[in-house]
Amino acid sequence: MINAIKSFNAYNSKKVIRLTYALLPIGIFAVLFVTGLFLKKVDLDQRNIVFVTLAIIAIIEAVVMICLSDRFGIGTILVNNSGISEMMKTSFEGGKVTVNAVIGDAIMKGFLFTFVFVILFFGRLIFCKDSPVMLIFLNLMGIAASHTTCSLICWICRKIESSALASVVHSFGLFLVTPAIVMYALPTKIIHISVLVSLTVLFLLADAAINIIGIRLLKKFIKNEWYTDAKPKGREDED
Amino acid sequence: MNYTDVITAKNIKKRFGKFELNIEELHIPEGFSTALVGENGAGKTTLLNILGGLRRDNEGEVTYFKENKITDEGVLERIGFTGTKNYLLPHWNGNQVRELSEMLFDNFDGEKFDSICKSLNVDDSVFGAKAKPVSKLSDGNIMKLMLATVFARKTDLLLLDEPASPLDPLMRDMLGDILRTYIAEGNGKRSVLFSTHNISDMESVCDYIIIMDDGKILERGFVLDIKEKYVVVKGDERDYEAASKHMVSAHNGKYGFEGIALSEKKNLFAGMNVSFETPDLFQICVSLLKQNSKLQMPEL
Repeated sequence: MINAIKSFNAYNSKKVIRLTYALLPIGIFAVLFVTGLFLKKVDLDQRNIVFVTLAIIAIIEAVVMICLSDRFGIGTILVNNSGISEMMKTSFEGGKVTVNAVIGDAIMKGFLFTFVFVILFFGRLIFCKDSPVMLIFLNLMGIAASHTTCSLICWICRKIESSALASVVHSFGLFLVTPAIVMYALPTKIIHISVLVSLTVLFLLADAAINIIGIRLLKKFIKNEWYTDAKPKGREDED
Repeated sequence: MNYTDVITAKNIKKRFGKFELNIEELHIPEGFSTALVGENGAGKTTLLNILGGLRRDNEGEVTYFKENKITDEGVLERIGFTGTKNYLLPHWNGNQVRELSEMLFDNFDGEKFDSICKSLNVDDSVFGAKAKPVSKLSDGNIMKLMLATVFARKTDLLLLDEPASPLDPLMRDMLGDILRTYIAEGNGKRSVLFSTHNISDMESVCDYIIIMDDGKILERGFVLDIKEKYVVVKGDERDYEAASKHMVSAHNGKYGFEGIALSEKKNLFAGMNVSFETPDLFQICVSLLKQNSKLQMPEL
């Protein structure tokens, strides 16, 4: 599965992928750890403000990096037939492997967000002294919101060949993670747990719907477009 | 000669603007090596892509191994295909090629792949911990890597698009040996169809030939039969006009004319100062292709 996902990563994207999947969580952890040490003598409210601000930056950064890595990885899989290897097309399993790679990629993104939010959870638990139960639900909502945002941005961009247009989608798509950010900015005392549960369920349902639609589109593309699009060499005037 | 088809195709049509691939009937004999020859743009790659299942938006019907369709389970597994581009994506390295082949083909043998890569002296910088991408390899090494992925599988039919073009003479010679061994070890059940511009180099491995021109089949048949069908005619300049009327193609030069004619028309040259020779495959192909070619000698 990992190999199939890796096979879609474009040649020039290795640094972006590494940055996303390795340096990002480590970077977030390092920043929060160092900040926590410096904030030891500051009062709880101020510490909370600094920590939450950093957490929000980390969430936005995570979404941006993961979407960006998708652009270089799975890329324009719903439109760009030339990005698919002939070896994949000459295998009976090629279509299945591609769909599995996309599903595996969604699971990997889920793991990455979980990792980011686990760090944020412990950071806030240790330095901000928030309620553990509230933090669990807050972070679950954060994972769901971030993953849904990513799914939507990624699937839309997988259907866009223009990089400029994809950048616009990336920019505006980020607003979907706003509820998670607002919740993160609010003091946990004033948030009712049912709001967090409702939002989490809502995001999970949206996430599932987006990915199901995306995978169906991909299967349709494989069936209808994979074996038609390649231009024979030397001819520009294909009908 | 009696033979069964490994591929049978009927009424294959595919249009690209002004170009149309139009093949009424195609038979690729089982247990033999077939060469597909033609000018650039004749439709060889399009035909191979259709036969390999890479293009499926054509009219017509193709059956494999008697009555199977390309979409039937197990058919693609029995076919080894190498293309000229995009077969291996440029950012892949050798390790990935091996891992993906294992994932995509049940009959891929990783150890055999390693051994073939070593035997073919594939640049080992694409393997190992610091593996370089395929794009860093020369065209010849990419082709060797592609061939290794195909020969590391248990297949019954190979479809190879210009496998000899990027290879050096030594490797081209070895490719001939490999293809001959592949067919010989198949006990009449293994077949190869390859396109080539290197007719002379690949003649030794070619049992059957299909000559294509402008999307159509110009000539086809077993090499021995084709060689008997045509004859090289050489003669004096003064007989050129009379002789050329009975020839498939003729070229008049400083020292007389030369061309090919159908063997059955040999008697029409009676009274002319001409000599006959058995043609090689290159002469037949070039002469047949010259008939309709738009190529002209430029003024230098």
